[in-house]
Amino acid sequence: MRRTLIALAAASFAASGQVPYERLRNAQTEAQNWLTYNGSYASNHHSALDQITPGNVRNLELKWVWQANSLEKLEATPLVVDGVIYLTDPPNDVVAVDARTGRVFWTYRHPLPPGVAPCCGQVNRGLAILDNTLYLGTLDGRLVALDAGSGRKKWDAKVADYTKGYALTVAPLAVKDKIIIGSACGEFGIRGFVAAHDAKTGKQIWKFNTIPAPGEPGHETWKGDSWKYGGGSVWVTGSYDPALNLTYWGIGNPGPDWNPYVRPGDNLYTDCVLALDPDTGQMKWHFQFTPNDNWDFDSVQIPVLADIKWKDRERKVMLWGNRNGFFYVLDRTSGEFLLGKPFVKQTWAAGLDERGRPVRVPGKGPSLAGTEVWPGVQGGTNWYAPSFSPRTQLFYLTAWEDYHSTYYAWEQEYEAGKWYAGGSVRAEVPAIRREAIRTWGPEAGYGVVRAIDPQTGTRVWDYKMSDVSDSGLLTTAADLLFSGNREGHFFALDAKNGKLLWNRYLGGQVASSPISYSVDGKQYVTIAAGHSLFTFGLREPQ
Amino acid sequence: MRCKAVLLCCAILPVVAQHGSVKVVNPYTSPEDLAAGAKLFRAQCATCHGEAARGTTTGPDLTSGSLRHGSSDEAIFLTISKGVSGTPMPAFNFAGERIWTLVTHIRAMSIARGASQASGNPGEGRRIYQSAGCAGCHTVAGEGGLVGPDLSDVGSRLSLQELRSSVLQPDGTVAPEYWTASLRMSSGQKITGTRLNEDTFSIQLRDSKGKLISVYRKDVADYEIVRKSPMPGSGAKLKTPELDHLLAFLASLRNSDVGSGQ
Repeated sequence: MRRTLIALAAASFAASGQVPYERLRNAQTEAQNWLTYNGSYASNHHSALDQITPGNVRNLELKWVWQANSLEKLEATPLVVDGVIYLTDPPNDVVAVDARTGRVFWTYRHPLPPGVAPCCGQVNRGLAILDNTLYLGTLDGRLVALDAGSGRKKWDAKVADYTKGYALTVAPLAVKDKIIIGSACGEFGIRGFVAAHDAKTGKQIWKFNTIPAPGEPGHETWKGDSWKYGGGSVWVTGSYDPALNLTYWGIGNPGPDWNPYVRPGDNLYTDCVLALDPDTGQMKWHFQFTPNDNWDFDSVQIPVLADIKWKDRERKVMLWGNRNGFFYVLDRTSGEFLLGKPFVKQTWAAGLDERGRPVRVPGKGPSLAGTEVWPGVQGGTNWYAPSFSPRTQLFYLTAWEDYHSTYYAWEQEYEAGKWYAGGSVRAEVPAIRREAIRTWGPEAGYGVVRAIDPQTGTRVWDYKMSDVSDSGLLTTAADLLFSGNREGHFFALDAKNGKLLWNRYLGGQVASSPISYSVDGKQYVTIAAGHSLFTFGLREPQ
Repeated sequence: MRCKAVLLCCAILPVVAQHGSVKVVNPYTSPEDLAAGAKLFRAQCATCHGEAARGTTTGPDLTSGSLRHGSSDEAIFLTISKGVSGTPMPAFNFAGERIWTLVTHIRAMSIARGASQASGNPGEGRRIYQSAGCAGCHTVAGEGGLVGPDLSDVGSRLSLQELRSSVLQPDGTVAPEYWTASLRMSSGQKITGTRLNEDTFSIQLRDSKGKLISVYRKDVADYEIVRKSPMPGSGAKLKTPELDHLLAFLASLRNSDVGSGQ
């Protein structure tokens, strides 16, 4: 009995870590933890841990596996807070797990009402933590606050109306005393937004609509009523620069996806990155990657913030490998375009002009008969995490190379809460892996982990895979790069040259991003594959 | 009244599935319902299943008449309304009336595809199938070879025109799962077989004797994917009546039914 009590006390101590805003702000100094969806506000997916090295990575062994109840794919990146892992089990359950053993502390189950049918899968990408509270966005449009120690619900607040097609799949971002979140389901003719809620009460403080209403700047880029269901979803977590007090969010595609002929104009702020004041929601600047998009090139990639010497001077930059196939360097103070180059084969743009606006190749829009375009509908890259290593000064991303689709467009009437894509797409590579069998040929496209020099936008090295990949990346202070892929492999590369140093076949597709943490001075790496979370550490002497 | 009928149908569907004693009849099959179903299909279903419902890489072909999650009207209704867990197929929360119009449209697409009737004699076709050696590579109802596709349900998968092209021009459309992997190993050994799967590190194939083989890419010196069908174009030698008989036999192969050529 006494022993049980002690164990309980230890567990509850471990599970009730306080994470005030100051810890989030300085997350990069806590290499043992993973305090936000992207590891830190700069979102560079780089761990300062260096115990696992190119020299000993071959000694990694499986420490534990956590198995989900759900058969949906795991897209969430876990949080690690002082020895406790918090992760979501799709669609909207939350689990607290011991980071050393994989044993479960508690489970929260979020019941969904009947009729919740989000556009693009029963997906959740994770949680935010602030003080002693975890924050979860749900498919029925709620922001749920949970006590991190017990998993008990503190409150839940309505953010969006699921009956009109809105769903929350993004991991929220905690900034100061607010929780920032947005809505997915751009294929349902929603009108997207970024919103901030009071972390204590759930009350909405501000809301920035990603599709401007009549009278608002940018509304002139829409025709007629098209703005009312213009998409502009938010489904991947943004970044934050405390010094500039700006939070950056990537915005999804315009709707209907493949029929741009009903919405002539640039369709702001779809396919943009927005720089917002987290206190007021006011926009400081925006940059649009693909004006009047008709290929579903969501710009929801993670804004990677880096302070580097770029060309001749120190600059606060944002590095961005976009779904449209171009790599960008922006000045994140002003949004100034510094550099842009294709990082995969693309056939829709002749290049970018001096302000970064694409010069479109005529005749590449979707059509009734079908139009073949590179990259295909899943893009040159997508939502999974890229990485920037301050040590190698390289930007790394997972890319779909030589991959194309045939895009079709047709007329479609808008109906609230229903599919509104205005066309279709065919590609040999499935959008989501369905089975472990892969038989298509290399001409359908393939996956690479690619290292890019931000100074020039040129490729430094490639690690080529047979199949495409939906896995994010992690670099570490020992110059290792961890990633997985759709084939079901989890592997480590030398971040300096892309050489494969270690690989394990986990047998289920990877559709999230690896993380690293340490407990009791021991470094671990964790990845979700299939319906399980796998954690590896160095083999210990017997 | 019509609404009540739909509600009733929805309510009793599970009972039907359990006992199979009551057959649910689709009450929405008028030309207007068909048109509404076609419109709804294009808006909500065509992105994944294709405009002609012939399938894409995301969603399967719905026109074969033989569907993975049940082919009856009520099974199609349930698949649409409940979705398929673990696949991209969501649950569609439409009113029952609208789901029935979709069922009507899907049925119409299958009927349109199977419209042309085979003119030959299936019994005669079965004899030709055996004498021409088709069974050496193809399986029907569990009997035959493994090199070529299983033909037990080919009549529900392919139209008569598609069957004709497959027999006459076997190289015309070869599904990737029947491509051949031709390997030369670093040791000099040559391995050839049906290409089953591959990833960054290894390739899986099945040789002509049905043996499963897995090789590491690092041991492979040369790898070629042969996209031609190993099927001899002997169908082209068949004269008109024999070919029609063979096609009639193939068209009669529909899943558990082993054909009408007995």
